Amino acid sequence: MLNVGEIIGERYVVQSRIASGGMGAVYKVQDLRLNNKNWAVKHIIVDEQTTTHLDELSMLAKLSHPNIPNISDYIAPDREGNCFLVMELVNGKTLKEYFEQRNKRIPASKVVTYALQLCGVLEYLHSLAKPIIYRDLKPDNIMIDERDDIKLIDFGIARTYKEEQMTDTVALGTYAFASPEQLENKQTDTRSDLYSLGATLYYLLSGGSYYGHRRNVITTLDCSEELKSIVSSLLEYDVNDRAQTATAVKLAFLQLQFNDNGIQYIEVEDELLHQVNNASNVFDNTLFDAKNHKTIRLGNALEDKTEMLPVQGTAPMALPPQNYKVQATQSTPALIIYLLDVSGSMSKEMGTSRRIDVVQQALMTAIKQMVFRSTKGSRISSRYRLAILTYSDQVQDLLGGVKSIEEIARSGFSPVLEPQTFSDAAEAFQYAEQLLQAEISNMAQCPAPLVCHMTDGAHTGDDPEPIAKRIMEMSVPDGNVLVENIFISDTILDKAIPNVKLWSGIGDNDVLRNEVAEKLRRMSSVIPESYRKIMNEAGYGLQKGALMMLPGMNAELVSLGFQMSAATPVR
Amino acid sequence: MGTIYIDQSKETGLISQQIASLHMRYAYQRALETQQVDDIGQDYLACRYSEDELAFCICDGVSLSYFGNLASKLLGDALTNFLWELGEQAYDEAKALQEQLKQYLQQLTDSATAQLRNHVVPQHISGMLREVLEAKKAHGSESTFVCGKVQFSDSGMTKLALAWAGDTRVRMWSNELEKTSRLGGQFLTQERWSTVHGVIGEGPHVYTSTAHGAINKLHIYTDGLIALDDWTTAPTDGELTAMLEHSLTKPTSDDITFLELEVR
Repeated sequence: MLNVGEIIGERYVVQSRIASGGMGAVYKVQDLRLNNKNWAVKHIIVDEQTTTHLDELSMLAKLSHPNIPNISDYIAPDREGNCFLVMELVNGKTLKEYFEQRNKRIPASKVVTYALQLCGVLEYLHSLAKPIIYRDLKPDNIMIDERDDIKLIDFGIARTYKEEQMTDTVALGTYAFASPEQLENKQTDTRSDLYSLGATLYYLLSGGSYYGHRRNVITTLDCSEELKSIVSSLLEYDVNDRAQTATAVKLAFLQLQFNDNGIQYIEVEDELLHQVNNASNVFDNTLFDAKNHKTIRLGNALEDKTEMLPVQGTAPMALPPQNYKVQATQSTPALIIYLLDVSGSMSKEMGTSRRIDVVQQALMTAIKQMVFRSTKGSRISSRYRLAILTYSDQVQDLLGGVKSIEEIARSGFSPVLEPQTFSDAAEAFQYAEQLLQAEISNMAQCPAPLVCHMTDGAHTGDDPEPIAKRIMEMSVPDGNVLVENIFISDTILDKAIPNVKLWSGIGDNDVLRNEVAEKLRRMSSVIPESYRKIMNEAGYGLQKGALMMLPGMNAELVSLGFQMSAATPVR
Repeated sequence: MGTIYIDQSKETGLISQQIASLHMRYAYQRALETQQVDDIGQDYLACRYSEDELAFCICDGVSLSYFGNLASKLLGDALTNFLWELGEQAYDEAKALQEQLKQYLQQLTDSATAQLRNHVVPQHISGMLREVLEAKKAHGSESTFVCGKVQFSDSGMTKLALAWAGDTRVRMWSNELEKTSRLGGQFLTQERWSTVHGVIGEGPHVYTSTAHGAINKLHIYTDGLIALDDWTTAPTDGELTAMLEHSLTKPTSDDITFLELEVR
């Protein structure tokens, strides 16, 4: 055992002991050479029985996966056989502690989220040139870090899989989570880890019970039938009946997650199918079909693909990844369509100016911002394409179609907006829909388009909401078309916003004080994280899940709305 | 004694060079759209070396700033010379080197600001673009950087000092075992050096090592070569050249600077 203050390898000062077990103790240490950074150090005593671990230690040091703590250093054994693995210190709790602190109840959706991450890390370990079987998957060995991500810790009994080796060394895994073959000292393989994953999930979904190889208890779990089926497939006694690969299980969980989120999809030429295809090539042609609660063989050219990916109605493709992370570049620019209400009420005062002048100013500021973000050296490398439509009783296309930001800057564009009479928002949305229909087929590599609508009151003419909803269902691989609304009104919220920078944004549950605002909320997209990050970097504290809806109570909020519309990630 | 100062206005295909026991490979490639209009790249690489020591700096000019190529060249030359002339002090404790660099990078803003003042927005540019460029000029030119100095002998890198601000990649190996995590992971996109403000963010981050032979290979490359992140071993010349060419097929093609230092 090491003492506090002891120095390892002339570099790491022992701060405290974190844990100890059969395979050695783990200490928190401070790095004298790297700004006193904290690390975790695993102390292993190498004796004749464990020298075979040395090769594996060097192999473990090469692992690199976001759900495995990075191993940064390895100090070879001294004369007494003391050697050390220096690794990333994970701040958090073990899954067991986390679970117990919540009275052994965590939502099934959370269990699925953790399961997906565990599948990811097992997929990584199992697909290495020399596959690694973890062999000790259990809640004690899974950390939940500060970002609510899992980290698989303690590779104490992990080993590489050698096919010829017919019996395993020692059944070290904890009984409740160990596979039957492990307990019977038979050969373990990657499927043994899948059993342990099933036992861990059973433990979490059952309120802390151990599985114990009793098949009938799975039906008593408090979760969906689909989730029970996945757990059941993992807990099959015979390895050949069990789910075969972490990849296949991950896909089953992904499918389950999509079904639970109510997402409909019909296309199969997408990343998911790509993954399925890869899985079928690389692994054992087996995929668990969560919807139909059975394991299916993929063998022949995916003839069952429509069964795996259910068709529901004729909804447009809405499959992941929809992360709004595609960067706008000169060859893949972002498309933004502005719909600006120029009805009579826009002549009302807002501070010392008319509403319409505030909007005009905010629009020009946003355009300059786009030029700013597109300028490299002395040239504009257009990251944006715009259409600017004003509407009253008619729609006016100020640019005469979609124009690049370079064309707009060169043209000296400087519109003078004047209030007119009506507010036919439906016609404006319809015009935007037609523009999008013409553009979107050429935008497969571009960021998702955005429609930014500004109004100051109830619409005249038809209801724009169904059209806005249709627009929000249009998509490119980066994500569905985003719709943002800026609503100029003094009566939208029941309280003032004293500091716009500190404002968290409008969410689904915020109380809005008029029906127009409620309608616009239904027509607003959730702000993508990539946009929110850019707004946060600009000093605005919009919270995760806020809607792309701005209460235009003053010029600063109107300006914020236009800035948000241009917050596309750019190269 | 020798020097390398990359020409930002053209490509430098992969070059291999042996300096005593140190093997060096480097390459420079502008983004596709920059090549298409024959503009100046915003990355930069500078090196100074002798038979047993080498100082270098790789910079990635910030395109959202005013002519990022100005800051990258100015900073790259300055830091390479600074480390070179620092002698043995470069390998002092990390804290000491960090302090010296902080002071130097702040001092450098005076001459940089003066140089920028003399830089004129081309007369033919007018309207909104001129307005934007004038606004950018007031905020200065910015660049990320990784600079370093290494002493080497037949047995390996005997001393090493690295400093950085920004997300340019630095990776290091000891006998094929990657040791990059020793650097601590603070490679943040928002950190950089500005001709007006000096260092923006918590940098420069510094790593020094006098552990004889502990590290024998370094890779430093800008984010245009992000594809190399997935590689756990060094690519061959052919693979690297193919990666450089392949990067030009992507819409996100960016300037690329690559430097490898290895004691074999």
